[in-house]
Amino acid sequence: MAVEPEKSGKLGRWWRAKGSLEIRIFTVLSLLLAGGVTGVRLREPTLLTTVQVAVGSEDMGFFRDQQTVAEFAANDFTVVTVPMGSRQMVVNAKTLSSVGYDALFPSSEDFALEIEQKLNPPYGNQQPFSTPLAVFTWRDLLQRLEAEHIADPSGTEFNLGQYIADTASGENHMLLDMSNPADSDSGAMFLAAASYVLNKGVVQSTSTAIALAPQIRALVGPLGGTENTTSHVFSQYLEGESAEPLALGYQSEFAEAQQTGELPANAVMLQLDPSINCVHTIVPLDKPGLKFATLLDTDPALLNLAAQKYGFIDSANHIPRGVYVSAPTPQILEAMIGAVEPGS
Amino acid sequence: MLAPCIVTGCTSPHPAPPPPYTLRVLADSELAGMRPILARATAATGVTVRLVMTDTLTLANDMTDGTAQRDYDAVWLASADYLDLYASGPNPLVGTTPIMTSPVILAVRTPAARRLGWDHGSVTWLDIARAAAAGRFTFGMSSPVTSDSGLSALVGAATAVAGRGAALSDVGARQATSELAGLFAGQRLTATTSGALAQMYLDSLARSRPAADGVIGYEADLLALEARAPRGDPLTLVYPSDGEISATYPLSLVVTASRAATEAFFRLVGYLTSKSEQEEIMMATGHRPVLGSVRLARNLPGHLAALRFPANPQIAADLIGEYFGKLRPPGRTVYVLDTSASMTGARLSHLEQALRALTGAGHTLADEFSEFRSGEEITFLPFSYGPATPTVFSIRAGDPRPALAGIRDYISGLKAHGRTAIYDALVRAYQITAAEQDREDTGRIDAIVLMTDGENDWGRSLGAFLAYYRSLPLSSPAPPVYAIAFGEADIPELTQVASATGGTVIDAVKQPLSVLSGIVEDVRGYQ
Repeated sequence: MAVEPEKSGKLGRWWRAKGSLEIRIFTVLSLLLAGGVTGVRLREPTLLTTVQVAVGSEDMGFFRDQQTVAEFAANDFTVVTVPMGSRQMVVNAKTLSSVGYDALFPSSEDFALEIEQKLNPPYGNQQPFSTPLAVFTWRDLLQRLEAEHIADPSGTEFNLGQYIADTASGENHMLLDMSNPADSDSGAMFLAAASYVLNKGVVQSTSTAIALAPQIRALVGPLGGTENTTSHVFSQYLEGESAEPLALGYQSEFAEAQQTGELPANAVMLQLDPSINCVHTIVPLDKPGLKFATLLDTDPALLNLAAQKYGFIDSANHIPRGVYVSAPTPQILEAMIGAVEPGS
Repeated sequence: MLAPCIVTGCTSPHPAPPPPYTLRVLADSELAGMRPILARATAATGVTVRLVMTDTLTLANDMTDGTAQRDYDAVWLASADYLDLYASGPNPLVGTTPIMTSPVILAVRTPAARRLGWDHGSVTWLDIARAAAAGRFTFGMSSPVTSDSGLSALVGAATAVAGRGAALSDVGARQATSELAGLFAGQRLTATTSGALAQMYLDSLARSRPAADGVIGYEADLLALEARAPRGDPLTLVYPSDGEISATYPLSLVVTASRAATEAFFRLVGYLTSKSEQEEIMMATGHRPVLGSVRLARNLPGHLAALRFPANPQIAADLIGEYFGKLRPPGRTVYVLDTSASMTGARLSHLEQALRALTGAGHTLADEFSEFRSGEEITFLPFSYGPATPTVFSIRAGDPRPALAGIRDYISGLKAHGRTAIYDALVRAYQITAAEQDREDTGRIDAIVLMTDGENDWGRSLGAFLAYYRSLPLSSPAPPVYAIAFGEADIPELTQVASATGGTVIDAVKQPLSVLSGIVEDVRGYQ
């Protein structure tokens, strides 16, 4: 038998030599051609503007929806969305800006502020919609959660304080799975909510954040190879009770699965108590990015679609009842993420 | 391209082909079986995938040092768990999409499965560990250092044995140590990649010298193995009831990818995750679909319990350390070293350097894991006109330094002269191994590593060696020969040696001598 050659030589960098203009023309042309095939309506005189946007993975359903694509096209836009963790957008902000992203769309305001601090783009930010953190479980597990007082007797709320206490004491073995806080918004916002419970208030200093880290790490550590985006956790949840008894995510994910008929009949969503309403925030990096952000923030058809079909909240008046707390400032949240990371 | 037209009723008889793009993808070698699927994707999407394969460890290094971001558009891993262990710094992968999944399970020779009662009813990893500890079950597993499936098997078994369904903690790992040592007492075969392991195992079945009762690996690979098993020696797949760790084969864009690459990437991903391609992948490669709407093929049982990989990479790293230091019987290797006249100068000094690197002073986890380990037994057998006197070094568990220093001294003393009697030396290596096995039968994994730069021009011929090998009693497991060939080595002859003994040829004939160190390090994955 032969062995696979260890690696064929490094490839050249021809593509870097090409100007971005050529690539833009190429992309527009290709999308025109693709449009011809898929039958997207094109208005003759105007060319579609293609924007490339980094988005949280949980927004992908909305952006891939044919109605969303058509509404953007009707406004002369083609949106290329690249799903990534919100904190990845922060860590890689400079690179993403230099390879031509027009806007970054993290799932919480904290991360948008961090991006603005790093890049100083002159376009402000837009907040088209939000969604609260929630817990997903299964009907036949409710009894156990209720017996441990983690779920309330009506089976609608998830008591985070009780969960933290029972898990720390070893009474509770059913672990809440979540995305990696170092990469993704929902995991990071769990740290915010858990630190609020442990601190009995929003954490106001980095020293407190670091002091709380060991207790929080005990909740995050046992979960195993945490996936870097929220949607991976949710798709694992959709595989069923044996794959994922208890998962953290956004209310919008559950609503979307309900709409599309993917939700198993015995799936249950619990309101996290306390929860965080994650305000999805667009940071435009250039003028096309700003036009995209403004459109999404103001277009009634897009907002209606996001709300009706994808369960996002398009107005503060529509936030479901529940206990909501604020996340710490970006600096304190960063300190907490750093202190909770495995091996730190 | 015809089928979608029928479904959607598109009017154009010749739809414009999608714009061509060549996507440069750095991939785990465990994805080698996907080439035919990717070739089909080109016709449908216009995206040509230039797939560069490497082992999991090299891939993690390329991500850490920035090679992946600089030279590639996308990275295709078997699982992301490995990166947590070896890559450091911020995660450079975005747009991550799992393409398919496969759990770590066992393939067991059917008579052995019947004997152990594993062909029906439920079996736990603990049952498997106890059978191995009692000497009733032996197996092969690829190296947890270089291969994702080896690491998943090690962590999966440890997690299941430590129990409770949560990811492994350091306490759990310590509690599982004795049971795990029992399990790995049964390991008889290892290799750098899962593909190499499967091939070695198949070869051993075909030669009626089964290297072990079974192998641990990814379901997709084991289904292929089952299909290729000799008719008279079938395999039975065993799914431990306490759960499996699964690979999810995530395909990701590097954060530095251009807009054109990004657009091509999503075209490819859309194609691979379409219902028809998910079905095609499942039928052609035995990987499970990521789409819930695809019905599982009849040979893929549903409702598997999931085990989790530990979040803290240190726990997996410690486990690998334990695996080599404590859990698995230490290896026993004979290094058969060509010291004929042609080795004089640069060749000998590169050979010395490559071996010296295994005696310590490595900086990365990868270096550390390829070094000579506590408890290992290393024999050097230089040859020219014939084999010289063998010199044995045992690495003492408590204090490895004297043996390592001894090895360094010994290596510096090598001298080149004379002719190249490869086969006389190999026969001697088998005699040494047999004598060691008689002296101490503790289930060590034996290996013979041949390093040569020339053709056999003295002593026994290839034919005489093969006749000798065939005369070895079937009861004694004769170790494979891993031949590292450079200079003017005879690749066709060495290939015959490797295939007869179940080993491998690493062909460095056309490569600079500087690759020797890396190759010697790689071959450690077989020991």
